Amino acid sequence: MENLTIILVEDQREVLQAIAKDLEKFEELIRIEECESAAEAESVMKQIIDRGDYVAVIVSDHVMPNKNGVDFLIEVNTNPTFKRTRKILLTALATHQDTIQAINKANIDLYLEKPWKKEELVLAVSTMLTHFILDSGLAYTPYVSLLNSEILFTKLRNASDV
Amino acid sequence: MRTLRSLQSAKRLKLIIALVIPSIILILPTSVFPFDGLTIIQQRVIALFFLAALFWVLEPIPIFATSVLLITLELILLSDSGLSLLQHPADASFGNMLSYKEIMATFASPVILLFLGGFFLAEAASKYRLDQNIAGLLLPKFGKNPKIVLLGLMSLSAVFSMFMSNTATTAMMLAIIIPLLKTFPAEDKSKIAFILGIPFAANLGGLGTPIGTPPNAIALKFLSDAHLTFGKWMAFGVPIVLVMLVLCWLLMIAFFPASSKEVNLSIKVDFLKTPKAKLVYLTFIITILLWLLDFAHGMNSYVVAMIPVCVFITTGVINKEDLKGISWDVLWLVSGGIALGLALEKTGLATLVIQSIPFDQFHPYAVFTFCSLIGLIMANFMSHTATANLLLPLMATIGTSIANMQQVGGSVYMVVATTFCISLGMSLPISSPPNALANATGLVQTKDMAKVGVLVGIIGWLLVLGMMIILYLIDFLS
Amino acid sequence: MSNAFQTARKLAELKTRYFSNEKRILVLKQGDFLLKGEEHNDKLFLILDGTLSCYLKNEEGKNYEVMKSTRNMFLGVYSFFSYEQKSYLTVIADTNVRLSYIERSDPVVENDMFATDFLPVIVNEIYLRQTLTQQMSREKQAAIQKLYESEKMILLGQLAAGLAHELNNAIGILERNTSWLMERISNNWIPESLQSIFNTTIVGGLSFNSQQIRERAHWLEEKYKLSPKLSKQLAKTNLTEKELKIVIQGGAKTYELINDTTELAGVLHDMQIAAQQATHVVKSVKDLGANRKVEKAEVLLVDTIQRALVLLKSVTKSVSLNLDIRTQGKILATSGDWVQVWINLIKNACESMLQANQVYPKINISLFETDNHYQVEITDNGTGISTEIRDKIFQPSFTTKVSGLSFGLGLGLSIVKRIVDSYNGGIQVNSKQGETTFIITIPKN
Repeated sequence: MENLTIILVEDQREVLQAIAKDLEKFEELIRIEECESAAEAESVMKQIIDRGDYVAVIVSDHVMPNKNGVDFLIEVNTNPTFKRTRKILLTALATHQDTIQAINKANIDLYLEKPWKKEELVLAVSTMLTHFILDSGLAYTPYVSLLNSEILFTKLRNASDV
Repeated sequence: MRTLRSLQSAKRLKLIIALVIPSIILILPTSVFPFDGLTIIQQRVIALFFLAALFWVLEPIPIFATSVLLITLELILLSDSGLSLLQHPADASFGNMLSYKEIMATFASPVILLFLGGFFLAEAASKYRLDQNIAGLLLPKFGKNPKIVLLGLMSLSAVFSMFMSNTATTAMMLAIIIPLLKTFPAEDKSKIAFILGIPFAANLGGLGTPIGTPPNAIALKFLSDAHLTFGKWMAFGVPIVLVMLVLCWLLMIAFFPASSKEVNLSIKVDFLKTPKAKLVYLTFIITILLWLLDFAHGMNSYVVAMIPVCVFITTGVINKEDLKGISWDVLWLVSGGIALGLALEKTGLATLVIQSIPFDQFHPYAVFTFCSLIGLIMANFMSHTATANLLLPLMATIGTSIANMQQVGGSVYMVVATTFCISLGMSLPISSPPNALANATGLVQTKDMAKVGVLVGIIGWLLVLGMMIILYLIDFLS
Repeated sequence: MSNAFQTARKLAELKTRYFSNEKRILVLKQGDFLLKGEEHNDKLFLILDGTLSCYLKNEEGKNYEVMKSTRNMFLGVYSFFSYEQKSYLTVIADTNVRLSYIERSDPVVENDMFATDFLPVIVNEIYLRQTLTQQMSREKQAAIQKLYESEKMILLGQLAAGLAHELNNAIGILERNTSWLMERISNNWIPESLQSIFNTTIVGGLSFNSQQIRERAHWLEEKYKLSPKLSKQLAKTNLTEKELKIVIQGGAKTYELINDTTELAGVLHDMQIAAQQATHVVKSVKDLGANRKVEKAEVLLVDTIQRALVLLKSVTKSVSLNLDIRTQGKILATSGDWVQVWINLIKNACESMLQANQVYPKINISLFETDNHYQVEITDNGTGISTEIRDKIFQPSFTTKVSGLSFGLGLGLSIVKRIVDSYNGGIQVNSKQGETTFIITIPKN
């Protein structure tokens, strides 16, 4: 079983706590790192990679001081180390321009609008996690309780017994 | 509650245990072991056996990786082209080295290629949605009575899993059934029956054909002297699947009765009609016919297995990208089991050890019963294939090298019975990937799975024993 | 030879030939009528000096201006040449005017040459009048458009104010009940021993930032071999290392209790912060949309700046903001006016920096007092304002914005100027590449 991490990036502390609280159930098996800025997230991600662990999912706020969420995710996207990392953008105000940039350059996997619903966020993260685990060829069985079973069934159409 | 920390440190601990114990065995003097005339090579095989067993049971690394590790260590420590520092052929107590070619050949042994053929059929079927369409075509024929629909679902799962992997079958059938279950009233217990019935039926279906599930492949390897053909396997495999399926179904409807009167299944059926799709349908039918009719044309099942591989590759039904999707890990996992069996057998260790244990004192039926029970229990807690890898070479040896075991049919019966019992291990989410998938739906609790799983296991075990006696009495397998 | 030159030469010819009679000169004072609509006229006038306005009656009988006539233009053209001989325009002198004229009964008019002489001049005259009318209609269109825009803004403002009013009550309840909940839980549900933890967390929320929490969690994980989840939960409490040690030695029960308490307090704290924030925003929007005719009251400039910053949070988020407040700035004013001034200025600054793709956008806002004035300076490090457009920026229609998000809280710098002027204040811009400062001075009292 590998060490997987979910990264949360949100500059407003109260909001960050709220996201972390919603995603609590993932902490049974997966590390959740809370970051208050893109720069902090970058350094945490570097440490994770240096330990040989995986960054499975990033949930990032959009509008943040210094480096905003889209720019941060664009940089993640261009880094081959994170080519399988799934990216969720949490956004309160997305203009047409931002959306285009996020999709074209950052390869965002999912857009969530603020205020979000807990079930929505949990489903999004579990879907992204399922994709990450199966695409990375990691053993999915230890994590089944956290995964999106519909995606799991579709993706395992060619699986074999081990 | 499991926490990350305990899992992580447990993993490290497992790795240490799995490395230290074999290392100790390796460095002890041969005289410590209670076997007369144990050679150094044989001692190394003991160490490797423990290494494999610990790695497969504790799983500090993926189980297929253990196979590769095992084969590589065999090449270095046991083969005639191994590390020369470790070879002392002049020493009388050194023992016989294995041929490196023979070890490497396990990667491409006939059973591996038989499975490759099976994988190609399954891959092509799912690529051209043949499986889904057949399910969609046949399921409505079972009407609307929930009990009968459940029987239909289970029968189809069992039939599919004879030719596809149990996991893929379960994934496909669960994907069909989940949307339907959402319409069920919340308190309807039959939901559990639907969710559990599919993986259980898929696990059982795996027994039906030689390519049904990987443990069968390892069994075939140890049955190569028995000339067990595809058709012959099915001749006793399918009946036991049928009986078990009906029993399992009865258990399901007894434990989880349906409260609704009607279920409405509607699945879109859309058979592809492209030339390639037609080729897939045709190849599927012809391959199965050839497998069943080997007595007529003379090609054994291994040779027949190459036909779909060849047809699909040359016509581009399976392309380069699809080829990457083939489960090479399973093939390598099986290779590891074969290589372990090879080492046990060719170094003479298996015979030496089995003869040192006084099996003769026990009644042959007792040994038979006990060995298959071990298989059943182990398979509930670890990978079926890994269980087969570990147990089947031992069973084969027990069967051949102990004189009074011939009374119950010898190694063929030992191997077949154990293989079947291994496939009956399905009482926990960790028992098999299909069980894990049922667990992933979040609609069944472990205790429900265990309740039915244990019963199915015990009933199945008794049935298998009974069938073996019948087969022996009519001398079917010789 | 150009058309204008030819026309001018022809006009000069006509002047000498027909309008050189000294007796046929008419002098009008400002406000005198030259012609009245629907009245008889048989004279053709040429304006020698001055300006006149021409009016038409609309359906309600009110006069509205159609055009202006100046030197070298003809008047009475229609009535003179038509059969009706009635003027359709009313013409009034804007300034003192000198005109020369001919009458229909003059013998020259009977001359064959007359028509030939006047045709091009009259055609030109008609063309000129048409151009003038078109220009006026264009201006009118622009005025209507502007009116429409400002009405939209007013509507939006009213909408915002209405919305704020509605939300005010709801948020008020949330805020008050959160406080009530805090008090009740603290008094009735939290055991004595946990009171201090609960209260510090309630007041301060999480006192550690995410980096510190990570370090504390790591420390706990390494030292006490706790699971990452538990380590993080404990790291988030405001306990000192010593207190943590006691808690951990107390075993699972104790830290579950501590954990629940801090989590509860943390959630309540966050709820309160959120409710306060919402209250603040709503109040600010209400102020902005407030009726300007309300009585002026004592207002602190520093408050108006703070309120503007609350409303602009989404815009200023990506900007590093530096406040340098040296005085409170007590003046007599409507606070909404000044909130609007700051919103416009700060928003402009942010937008110009974003447009310039400034990597480290910075805004500095300072408030200080001189002997007679308060002074607010807002400095940004955007591209700056070029000298050509610096004079125009306070005009209503001026904009350099190309794209981007705009929620229309104001009408831009023209409003700023209007408001500042209404308080007898002054506004000044200093700008160079990378530094633009708006300086607003407001008289005390």
